[in-house]
Amino acid sequence: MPVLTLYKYRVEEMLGRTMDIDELEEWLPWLALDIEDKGPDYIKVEYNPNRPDYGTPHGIMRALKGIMGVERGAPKYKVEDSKIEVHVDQSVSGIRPYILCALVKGVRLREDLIEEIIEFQEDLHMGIGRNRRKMAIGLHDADKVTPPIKYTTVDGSFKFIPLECDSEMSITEILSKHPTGIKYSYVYRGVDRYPIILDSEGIVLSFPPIINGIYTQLSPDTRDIFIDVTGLELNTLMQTINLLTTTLAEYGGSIYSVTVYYPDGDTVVSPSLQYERIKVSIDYIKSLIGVELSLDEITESVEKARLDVSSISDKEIEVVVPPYRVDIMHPVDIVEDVMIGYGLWRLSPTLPNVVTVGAPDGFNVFKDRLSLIMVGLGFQEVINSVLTNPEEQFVKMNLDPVDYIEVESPKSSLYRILRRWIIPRLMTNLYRSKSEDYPQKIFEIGEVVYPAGDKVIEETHLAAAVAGSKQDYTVIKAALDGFMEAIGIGDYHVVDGAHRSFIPGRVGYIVVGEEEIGIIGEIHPSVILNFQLAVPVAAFEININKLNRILSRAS
Amino acid sequence: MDVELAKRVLDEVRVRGRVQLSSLAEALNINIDKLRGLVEDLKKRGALKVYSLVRKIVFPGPRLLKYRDLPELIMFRVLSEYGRIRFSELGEVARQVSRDDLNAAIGRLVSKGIARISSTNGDRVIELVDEKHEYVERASRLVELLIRNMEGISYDSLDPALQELVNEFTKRPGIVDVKEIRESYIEPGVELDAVYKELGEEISSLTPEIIVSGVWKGREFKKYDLNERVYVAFPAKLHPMHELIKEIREIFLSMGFMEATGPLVELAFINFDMLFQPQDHPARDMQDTFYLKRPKYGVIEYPDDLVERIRLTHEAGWETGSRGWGGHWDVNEARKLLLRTHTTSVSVRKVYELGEREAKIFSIGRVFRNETVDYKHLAEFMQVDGIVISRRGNVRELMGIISEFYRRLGFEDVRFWPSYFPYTEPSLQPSIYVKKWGKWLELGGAGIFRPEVTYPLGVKWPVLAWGLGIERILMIKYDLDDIRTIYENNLGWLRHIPIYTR
Repeated sequence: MPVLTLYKYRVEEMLGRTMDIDELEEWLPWLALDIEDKGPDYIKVEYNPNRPDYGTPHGIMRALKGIMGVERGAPKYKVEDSKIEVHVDQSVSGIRPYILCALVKGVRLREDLIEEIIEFQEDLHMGIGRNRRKMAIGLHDADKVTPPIKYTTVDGSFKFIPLECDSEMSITEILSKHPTGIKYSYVYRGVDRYPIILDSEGIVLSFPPIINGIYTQLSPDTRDIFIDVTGLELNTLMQTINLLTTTLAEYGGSIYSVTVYYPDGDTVVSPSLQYERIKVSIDYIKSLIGVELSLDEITESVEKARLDVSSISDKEIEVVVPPYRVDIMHPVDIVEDVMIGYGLWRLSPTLPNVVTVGAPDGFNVFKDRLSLIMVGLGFQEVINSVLTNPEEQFVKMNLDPVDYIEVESPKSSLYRILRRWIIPRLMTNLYRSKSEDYPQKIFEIGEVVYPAGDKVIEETHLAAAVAGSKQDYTVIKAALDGFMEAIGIGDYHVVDGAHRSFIPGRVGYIVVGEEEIGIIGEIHPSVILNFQLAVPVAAFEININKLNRILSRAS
Repeated sequence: MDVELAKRVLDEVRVRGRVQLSSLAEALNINIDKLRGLVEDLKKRGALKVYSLVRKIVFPGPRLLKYRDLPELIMFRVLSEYGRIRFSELGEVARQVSRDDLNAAIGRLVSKGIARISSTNGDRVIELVDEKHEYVERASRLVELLIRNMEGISYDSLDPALQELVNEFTKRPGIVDVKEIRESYIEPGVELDAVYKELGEEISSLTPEIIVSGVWKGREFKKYDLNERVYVAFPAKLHPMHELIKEIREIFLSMGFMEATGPLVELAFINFDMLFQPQDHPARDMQDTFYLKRPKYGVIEYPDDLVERIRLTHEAGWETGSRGWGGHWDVNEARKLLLRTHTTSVSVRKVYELGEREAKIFSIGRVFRNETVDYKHLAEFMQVDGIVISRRGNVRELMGIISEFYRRLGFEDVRFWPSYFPYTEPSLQPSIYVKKWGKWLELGGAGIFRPEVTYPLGVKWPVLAWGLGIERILMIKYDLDDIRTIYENNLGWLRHIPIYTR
């Protein structure tokens, strides 16, 4: 999630009064901002990308002034026509079909403010832009741009001087050599035409979404900013350009629209700066928040959330939403804004008046009972992750690594498959407990997962292990006998079996009636050594789902 | 009878055969008379034989102590130095010896043939004739022994030559004192083993034979050191996470909640799409979510019309009153299999299953995130999720349930801040105040399911929902600074930590 630094001097500059960091720290969480860090003259906040308008200190202050009651209602932004035209060539349609532009004049750009805007741009690229693929922004010094603008495609040999460079590079070179080009080259894998934004004199504004040309780049002297936004959906682009222009207006700019001419004859004027009107039922607001709010309170809350009220009655309120609030998609979002404007701290918790009967999950109760029997038999419970690795599950257990479920791109190689059985996890536990007193007796009841064709099977197993000198088959068999008797299955037997994790002749399958439910035996010395242990280990593992079915059939 | 002491006495006798009573008393550090009484007792039971021996002890006499030597030996050394000496010079060369003793000493040396007396010019002279006489050697040895052992030497311990010498010295005044001492000794008796056994079983462990035979009557039991910590018996216990889960289950059950469960491997459809998580949301990336390599896709076992409603809601809001996320909703993305990223998958299944019916549901289970594992993060952890479905559920009730839950876990101060989740609106972030850490801790999220989530499932009532991590609660309880400790299952940790109680 994006993080933004608010400096005390910036806050005071925008608020027009002094404010210490502690007071700021009290206010910001009420805007759904997380405090990451603070110092004597700054505070770092994390904001959720659903509120891209929080991407600059101005955006945060716009909202903060609202809940503080300093400014209320929706900020008004005027837009005039720049008369600038952008012509879109048919060839972009299969590659990066949409572009919108705007002009903001008279922006005061100090060094520190340029930095704020660049960071905002990057946050938008990550959030709305989904790492520039879905949407990307180019900001240009408008004085260097000669309209009309052309959005077209070129081939890989086309050359211009990109940012952070002092000589011309071809598109192909940019994608393979320029650090920014390499980073975003994934957008154009397998493509032979590339989109380009040119002015009427052939100057390259941008090779979207990779990099801008050097000629039009911003400087502290820039006053008028020309914006291009390209991407895959018109809606996203309009949201972005509305966000950008209204934010730059907070930096003192005046907004001018640009008209884009698409090859199919459509024209789009941006920014739209459309103030959306949303109707919300008064009862819906009161009922969802759980407070009998008066119409005045609702109006005040709405305005503190920096929205306008265009009309209100006992039944319904109509709210005007400023164009930068791209997060609002449903009347319920207005309810949350009322809650925030009203102040969440004013809501008192209460318990719901819903009469229901509680009941535990039957299988969980069953598992708990089995756990208590195992504890009674002197086995300490362990809980291991289901995620593990094939080395533990198969290789160290003398088994071939087959029939397991693997996850895509795990960050840790220790956790890359789902456990097929639990005994290897217990072996790892014994390894970690090498320096503890013997005998050691442990058990786990938990899920195992494996594939069956194109299906995924989840089972719950009980596994138990004893380790130490004289901890042999007799010991584990005695525990199994005691366990089975305790759950009322006196009649079971162990059928000779072969399993490479165990000592031949000392391993068998546990069978109840005709059904095989598990395995029991003495662990093979080579397995013991694979886990760097030096004591005998004996273990059993049974399928608890099968046990549960057997027991319910019996009752 | 002091049974413990009796056993120690018998032990000594058993090992050493014959034991002198006085040295035993010293070794056992007890009064000799007390020991005598005990020995008498054991003798009566046939465990010991007791007998007395008379011992002669040789002490140095006053004359020997005065010179710290024998006069004749002093004389001998003088002679060894000078060879011959005139009588008139004797007083000069051996002046530490009295005149009488000197004369006697010369007489003794002469009579033993060590020296002789002759006359030269009317002057009597004494001269050495046998420099290596054995009397000199023996007497020197005995004198040294006596001087060194002022407390006396056992006559029996001396070799026969020295014993003879002692006998000779007793005839001379003040050289040696010989005293006779009566010593008691004990030896194993014929009943030793039987008595020992009787004593032993009586005191240390109470056996059925002892109880039934009545042997214990009138006897003492071995006194234990009641605080002795020889070894620790480790009780087998439930894992502390299991104890916590049980406690959480009890809390929700007592509040009238029904427990639900669901699979670990879920369809993206249930884990994300039913929860109105946009298909291009970063949380759905492989970077954050574990997708299965094989099988990659599962079957959406929900009616086609539900799948269609969800598609429409994502794309343009369907009939929910929302504008939706826009773009194209891809059913293949929804068919992907993954490890559930939250137990909210269980909650949303229940919303569809139950429909518009008053219900309170909770579930506890494992969830998975493709995280780099470190002291703060796990790739797999436990979560408790809950929902309340009711006609007029509201934010205050949501706050109430969560506050009550934490209050019962021992956290009195619970605060709520606004937050954001794609599937809830309003969204809250609960924080608890941890007194012993002196700070607020965020443990999850809460909110009311968006209409975009519930309407396609046929539920227009508000559904209060929350999902909370629970490892942190154990970390607070046990002051853990590394979350990995919980699932490492080191037996040392599991054996020594106290059980979970709030």
